[in-house]
Amino acid sequence: MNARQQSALSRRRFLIAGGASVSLGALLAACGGGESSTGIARIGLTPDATELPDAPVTDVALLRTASSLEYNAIFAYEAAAGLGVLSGDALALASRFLDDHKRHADTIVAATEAAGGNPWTDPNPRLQSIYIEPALSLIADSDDQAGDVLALAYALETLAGATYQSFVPLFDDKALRAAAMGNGEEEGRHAATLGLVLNPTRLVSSSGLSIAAEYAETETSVFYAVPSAFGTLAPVPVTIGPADENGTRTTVNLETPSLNSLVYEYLDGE
Amino acid sequence: MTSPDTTTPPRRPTAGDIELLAVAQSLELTARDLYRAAVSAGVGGDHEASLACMGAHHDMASQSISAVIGGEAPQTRNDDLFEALESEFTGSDVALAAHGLENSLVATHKALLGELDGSEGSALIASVLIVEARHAAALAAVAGLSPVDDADAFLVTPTDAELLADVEVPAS
Repeated sequence: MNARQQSALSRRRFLIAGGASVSLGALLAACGGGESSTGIARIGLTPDATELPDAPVTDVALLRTASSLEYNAIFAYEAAAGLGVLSGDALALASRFLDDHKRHADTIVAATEAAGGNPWTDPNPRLQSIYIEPALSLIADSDDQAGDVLALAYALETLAGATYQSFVPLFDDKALRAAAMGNGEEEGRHAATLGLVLNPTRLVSSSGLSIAAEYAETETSVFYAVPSAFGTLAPVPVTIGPADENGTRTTVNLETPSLNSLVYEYLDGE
Repeated sequence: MTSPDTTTPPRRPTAGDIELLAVAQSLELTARDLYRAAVSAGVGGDHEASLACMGAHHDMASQSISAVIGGEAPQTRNDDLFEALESEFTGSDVALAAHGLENSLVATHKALLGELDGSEGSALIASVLIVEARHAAALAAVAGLSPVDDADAFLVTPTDAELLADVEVPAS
């Protein structure tokens, strides 16, 4: 076949394909119904689009999210107390931390009202369902419930501090930044105190630091009073629960609230 | 529901921010040098490595502030503050001295957050502040205090913590 013959064949195939397209278009138009002569032909009916809610990340939404996290912590500490597995200093610390979270929640509720918002006084629904309840369920089946409660508390306090830190550049009102970090630094102190209880021999991690070799660790830990040079917004891993048949326990990565975890003002209408 | 009228804060530091962040950088360099003096004096005992790490944290904080404000960074410590605290940092009460310094830094940084306009600077100060609060809790343990009997030393920035910069404390 020479080039001229090949070109003619290609044109013939194109015309055949074009004819099939026209026929299919006519069929689709016929299926579209005859009620409207001006509408674009379509197959079947489409439901009316649901309008998306207006969900701006306002100072009030951030404050409501902050109070929701405080209620997550309150729920977790009260649930841990219900297990009855802590004693001595650990129990005293958990009791103090619970009181602190209640105080923090009150300050955030007051700040929400002062900002003209409707306060949120329940745990964050999403964090409750993806972190708190699964973690507590794992601890209920654990062989080391007391150790797991402290590990979860360490992670939750770190997460709470990180959340306040992450909100600082998002607040429009400068005064709220300082107020938020008033709570955030106390969550950091909670985590630090748990860190030094869980790892009393090495309080500060040397990871990533430019220091003399004699001060660098040879083995690292999950728990430190001070794990890094800056407050990190990275996920906080916590390993808890019973071991599986391979001896592996479950690791849950706790993350600061993302846009789908904020307690927006429109949620009040749902 | 509509969002309230708000003014989105600037990202980069304003001229006023740069002045405040320059003070913060100087304070971080002072803290770094005080920890270095403590380590050199060999007063850290079992926690000498932790003191060395805390000094390194302050050094990193100073470098990060420098990165935000560039050529306006002073790159020098506050000599008056260093001289006022040097003897305590090189003595047997180094942990308590450092605990007091960290609490003052936390209080100062919180006050700065109420003054800073730019989001870059405020985000950085928040990330430094939370670590210095953790330093304070760790140093309470180094000082031999009990997290139960002396809980406030671990968990609270004292209301009378000395501010190390000329800034107003925002109402909480």
